[in-house]
Amino acid sequence: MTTNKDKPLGIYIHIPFCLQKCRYCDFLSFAAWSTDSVTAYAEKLIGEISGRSRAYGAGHHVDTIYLGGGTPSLLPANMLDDILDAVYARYPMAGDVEVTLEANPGTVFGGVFQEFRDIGINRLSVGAQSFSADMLKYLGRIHLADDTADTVRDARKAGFDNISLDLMFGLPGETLAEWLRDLDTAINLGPEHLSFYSLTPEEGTPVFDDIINGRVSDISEIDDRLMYHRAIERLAKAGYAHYEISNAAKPGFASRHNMKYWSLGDYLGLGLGAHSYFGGRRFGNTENMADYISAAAPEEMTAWEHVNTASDDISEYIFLGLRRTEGIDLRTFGRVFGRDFWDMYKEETDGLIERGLLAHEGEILKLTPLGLDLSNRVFMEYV
Amino acid sequence: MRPAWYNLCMKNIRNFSIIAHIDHGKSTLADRILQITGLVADRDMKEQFLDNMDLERERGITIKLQTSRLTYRAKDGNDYILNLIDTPGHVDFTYEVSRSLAACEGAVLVVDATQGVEAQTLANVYLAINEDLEIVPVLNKIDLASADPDAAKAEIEDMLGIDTAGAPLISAKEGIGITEVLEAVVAKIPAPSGDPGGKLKALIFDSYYDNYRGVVIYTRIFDGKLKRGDMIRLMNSKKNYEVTEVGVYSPGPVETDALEAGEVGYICAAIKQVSDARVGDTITHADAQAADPLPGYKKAQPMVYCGIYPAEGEKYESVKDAVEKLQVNDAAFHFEPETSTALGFGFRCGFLGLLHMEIIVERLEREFNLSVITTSPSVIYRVVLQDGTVEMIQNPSNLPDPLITDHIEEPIVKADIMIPKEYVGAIMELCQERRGRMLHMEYMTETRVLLHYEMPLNEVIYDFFDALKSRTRGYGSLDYEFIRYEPSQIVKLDILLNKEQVDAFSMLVHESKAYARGRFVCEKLKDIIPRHQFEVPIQASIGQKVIARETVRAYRKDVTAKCYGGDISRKRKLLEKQKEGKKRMRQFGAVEVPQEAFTAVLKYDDNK
Repeated sequence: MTTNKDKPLGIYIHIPFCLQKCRYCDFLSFAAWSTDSVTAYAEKLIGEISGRSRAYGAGHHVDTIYLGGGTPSLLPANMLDDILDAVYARYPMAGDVEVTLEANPGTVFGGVFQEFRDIGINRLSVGAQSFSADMLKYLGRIHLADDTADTVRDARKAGFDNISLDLMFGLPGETLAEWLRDLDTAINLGPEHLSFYSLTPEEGTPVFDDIINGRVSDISEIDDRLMYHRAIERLAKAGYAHYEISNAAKPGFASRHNMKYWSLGDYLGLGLGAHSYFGGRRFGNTENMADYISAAAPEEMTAWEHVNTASDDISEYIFLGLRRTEGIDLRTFGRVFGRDFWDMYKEETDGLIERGLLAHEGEILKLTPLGLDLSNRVFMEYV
Repeated sequence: MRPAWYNLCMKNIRNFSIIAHIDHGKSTLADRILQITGLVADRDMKEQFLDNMDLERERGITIKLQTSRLTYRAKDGNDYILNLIDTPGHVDFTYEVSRSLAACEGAVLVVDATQGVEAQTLANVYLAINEDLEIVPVLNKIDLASADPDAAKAEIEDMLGIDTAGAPLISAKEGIGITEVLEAVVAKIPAPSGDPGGKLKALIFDSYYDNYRGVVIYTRIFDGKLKRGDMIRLMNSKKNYEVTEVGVYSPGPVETDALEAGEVGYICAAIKQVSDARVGDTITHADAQAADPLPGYKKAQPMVYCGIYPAEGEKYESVKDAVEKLQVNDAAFHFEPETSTALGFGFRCGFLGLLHMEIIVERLEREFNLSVITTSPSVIYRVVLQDGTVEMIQNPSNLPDPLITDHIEEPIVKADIMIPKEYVGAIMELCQERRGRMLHMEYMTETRVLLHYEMPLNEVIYDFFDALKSRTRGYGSLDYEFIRYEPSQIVKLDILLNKEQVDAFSMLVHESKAYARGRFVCEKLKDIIPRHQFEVPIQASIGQKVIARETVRAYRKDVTAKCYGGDISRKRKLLEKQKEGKKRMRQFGAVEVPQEAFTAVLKYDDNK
């Protein structure tokens, strides 16, 4: 798809530093770093933000910024300020820009929240993960169960009115009752948004090794799904609408930034290993820190690029769009791509409907509750 | 009138083969001989020149014969024509070996000095003795530290009764002692005899298909003379052809005016299929026929059958094309179309043995770039019906109804197994598991035992050889041949996936083996069949009776909880991979079965 003038743009900024690597994490982040290396990285990052603005800034207005990691809340507020200033200076901003910071309990205290507010951050994504001391310890989180409540309380005090909590379920040995207790604790903290992720043991992580070697017992798929569906029910009762496979929010608080990922919106990823989708191209930065730091220009940071074909866009539109519980509107599909959905995918779609994985209501196609559990089985039919 | 030099010429011909147990260095020795006689320049020397199929070179075994005419000036000052006839080295090809030996007056017996005499050494020596050949023993691999030529010599003398005095000690790999081998060939192997003036009598000992010339026949002239333009008759297949080309291999084809008694060479006669020029057949002149054909002709008889089907996404027509081409060049390979409810249109194929089958399947995959599914190999059962009629069954699906069957007979082979004595217990146990009956046991030397067994062929084709090797740490060797049919309690074992029978998995097994085999297949399939959205029961049954069952649990969750930081490419790749895996599946009703399932159930590991 071509990018229209004045099309909104999301910006993702990757901060790949953590105090400690979580035992389930296979994402691009480092626990070994020095103040100097963080400073050097921030400088490079600011250079990239400015450098890429010529190609990506003009003609767009940025309506979401997402500082993710890693643990971006590790960076001193003035450093985050410099980074955000570079964005503000080079990219036209929408009036209601959503600026999210991933903030991990145990790294943010007291007055820092006011500083975050002052530099324009208006949404916090708090990595609570669990409220069980044992689980937090097992997962390798650095914070204690009470830290999350403190974080939310301090953030509220500073005026944050858009807070999201990340939770994990299906942890080794976890029971349904324990999970629901965690979920209630989270709900009682009153966040506007909740992400609830089923633990996915990724190869190469200590948690994966534990499970493979039988040191901990992975919970059954049946229990995992029970936890998932009970969570959706409970969240609904508490006023959170389930809007994406792993996300629920109070009305008006769905993550605008993440929605871009699921609706083929344009976003520019900045920083080590960050991914972009812009003007029908997907591209990504190098994951090698030394290469990133030594790159003479932002173009050299780009490690790969893929120009989406029409059929790439179509399949992504479907498999990302179906992650949203509202599903995809087949009329919109026809309008956007100029092709009839049923001409392209009748056989696959009928099969999935028959298997009880997809529901077709009016012009809407969406995952059924079973389809939510087996979504990859659905998506693979469209790639 | 014969020219004066003719007798001299015949006197100076030596026709010989090299015989050996597999891996004892036969092909390497052949290579060295080509090199030393200058037939192949060093720089052209690929390892194992005579084994000209890539597959052969890779597997280190000879499948198709190659022959070469060499000239050698011996130490006596005379020039000799040496016709080296390479022989296939595997138990599946005994008949081909016997026919190429029949073309010779002598054989160089290669024995690995680190291993000594093995089962196929024995089998090959017996074949050579049957053909009245002069045997020239040679001890190979003397460069290896573990070589013990004296012990190997003692074994040759004790076990084979062959005098080893003066036997060359060589290393084919290092090129040591090759001249001595050639000197021994010249000195010990008799020159051919035969009547150059008699009626033409020539033996076909191999043939292959050439795209331009049609079938090329390798032949040994015993009596008479054969030249271009002759009308020939193949005495067993009773067909006439006109000879279009006559020549010798040296090592490439070189046209000559004629081939005369005592000579080895090739002819072309516009023959379209190798099966029209069967190994063992006798060539004579159509208008002046010899009285009797040469002895020993046999039709190649497939011993093992299996279904070959195009894999998912492969076209039937391409497979048909390929098997037709292979058959043109392989008289022992049979096929006919068949249909499977599970696999669709395919072919029932007959092979000399399991190795032959594996080779054909590999050639289909490599030379023709095809992906095929093979079903459980089966021997041919002789089913006697109550009304006395007999049906030969090579496809389990065609087994007549038990209600009208009087009894079923299965092929029995005589198996000679040679092993070091410490493995006697283990191998007797193995043979017993495989329903073998021991005839007797011979101590060939103090440390080496030859076990004579009668065993159902059906038990031999399920990786018996692998089991033998693994239980003897590689030292066991095997030779077998078909002897007769015998009544047996054979039942049809069916496999059901999700309650539906998959005919491609059906197999005929002995009643006593049915439970174990059924359990084994169910367990194997349980590991191989992916989880589905529903539970997949896997059952093994005999008739209506289920004898084993496993279940593939349903998947309940297949979800990517989080797409980190908009990393859609990774997500897409995972989905594509998942889809790719699904494409390679074969659909049976609602159940998807990976192609590997068909080969996996064939590997029957006893030591499990």
